[in-house]
Amino acid sequence: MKRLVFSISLLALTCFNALASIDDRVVLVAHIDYDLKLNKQEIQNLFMGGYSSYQLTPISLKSGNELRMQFNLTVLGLTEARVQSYWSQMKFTGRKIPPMSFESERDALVYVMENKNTVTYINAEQKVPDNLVVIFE
Amino acid sequence: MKRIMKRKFWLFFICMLSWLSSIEKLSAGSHDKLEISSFGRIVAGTFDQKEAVFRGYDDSFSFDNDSLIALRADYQLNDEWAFVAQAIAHTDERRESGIQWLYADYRPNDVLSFKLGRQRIPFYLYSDVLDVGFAYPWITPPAPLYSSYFFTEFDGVSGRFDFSNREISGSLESYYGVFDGVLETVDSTNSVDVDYVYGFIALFNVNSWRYRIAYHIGQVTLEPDAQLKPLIDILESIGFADSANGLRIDGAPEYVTIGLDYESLDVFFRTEITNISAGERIPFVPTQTSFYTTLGYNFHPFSAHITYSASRNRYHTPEQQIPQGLAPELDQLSNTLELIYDSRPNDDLESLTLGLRYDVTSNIALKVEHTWLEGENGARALFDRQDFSKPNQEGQLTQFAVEWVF
Repeated sequence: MKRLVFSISLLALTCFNALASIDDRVVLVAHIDYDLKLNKQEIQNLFMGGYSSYQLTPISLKSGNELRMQFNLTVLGLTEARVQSYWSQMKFTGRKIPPMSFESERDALVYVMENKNTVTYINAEQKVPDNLVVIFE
Repeated sequence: MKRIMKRKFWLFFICMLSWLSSIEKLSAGSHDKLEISSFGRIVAGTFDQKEAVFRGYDDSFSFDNDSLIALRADYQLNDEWAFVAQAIAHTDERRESGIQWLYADYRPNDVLSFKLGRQRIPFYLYSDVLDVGFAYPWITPPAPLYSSYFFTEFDGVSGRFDFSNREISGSLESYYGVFDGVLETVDSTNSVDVDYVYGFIALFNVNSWRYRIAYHIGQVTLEPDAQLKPLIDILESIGFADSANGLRIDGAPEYVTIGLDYESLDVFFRTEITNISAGERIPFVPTQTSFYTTLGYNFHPFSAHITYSASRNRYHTPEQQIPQGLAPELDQLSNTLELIYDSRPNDDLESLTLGLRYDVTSNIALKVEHTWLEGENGARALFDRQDFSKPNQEGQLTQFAVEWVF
């Protein structure tokens, strides 16, 4: 009996971890016609308003969106509150402008599919459209 | 009276426009050519001392010292040119309300940007954004360091170059300008004339670390106090020009600042150290070394911090030019001069702050903060009013704040 409880617990834990890791994974897709892989530092720089030598334009989601929160936590490594504080500093000193942002993941993805050299993040479970290239996973 | 009327006008004007802009935002898109945004803070606080006053806080509960509201308009003419105006209204009558930023922004390409017009000087990591409390963890940025400048704005030009590669990103920034205005210190108001001010700022981001190095210099001429003016005139008229000049503030203080910042999901760390030196030319401006260190912990939607800050000020006293023992009038003049130099205020101060921030929504935060302050023996320690019955100025400041950006 003890072995059964242990096995079920282990299975549940494994499933939970697997689900959690699936839910947490975010990939970045770009509308480009060449292969490109960026590292975390480059993605952070791109989405925090820094200069990108790849001439890519970041497309984000509005604050409150769950995927945006996952992206902030797993890729930027910052809480939403800290991201907002950062942008208030950049905006009210005229240094940087936040990325264009959309309400829904679908709208962001459609925009990227229609505009070359744009980048956005999608859930890893989502199928990557044919004309987009995965640049970070 | 005129100043109070002006402050009330700006408070009313910006409140009305902020309200109108919030209505407008319900229907406006986020990428319109004209974008109106605003920020503000309501700060309440009390200082636990009966006699002493620190940064306007006494033992009553006050909302008047740090509360403010501001409005910003960004007009994007095309991909290269934008025009920006930002107005602010303070509840504190000692702080200037009105236009704070007014500039044309020119971005010829992705790596270069220029601003032409009225801007704020980026002395420290947060000094050009001091009024936007939402941007930083404290309610009051560490006073020993963040109280140490002559002026906050300039009219001129600034330029920035951004760079990045796979491991590092950052920017190199420079500015040059002039400024004519009023300097408010803890116990006086004087008109200030800055013939030139310029600076260089380098910023590097590596992983979760941010490194900042800055150098600033400005030629400052401050109108002498009304009490000192007759003495300066007498010294000049009898040929002691160097002694007279020693009573003026007329020179070029230099600022060197190093900052380090670390940010992760769980913790944050910030530290800045600065050295301000006017050399031996301005006996009334001390060489100042000040720093702060903040350690913070994030447990979303809360974050907590502990901050320690301190400053050390040392004056240069010029050699006495007036000969003693020749005439009683000269002796009296010499003694007066010595007395003046001996009474120069010392702002050596230590502070320890504990603070908690709660992000209610993505643009509203609540903060509570408690600060222990302890001045050096006999020092003014940035206190507005001192308690002379004590050997050193000390006290505890408790503050509550609502911060917002829209």
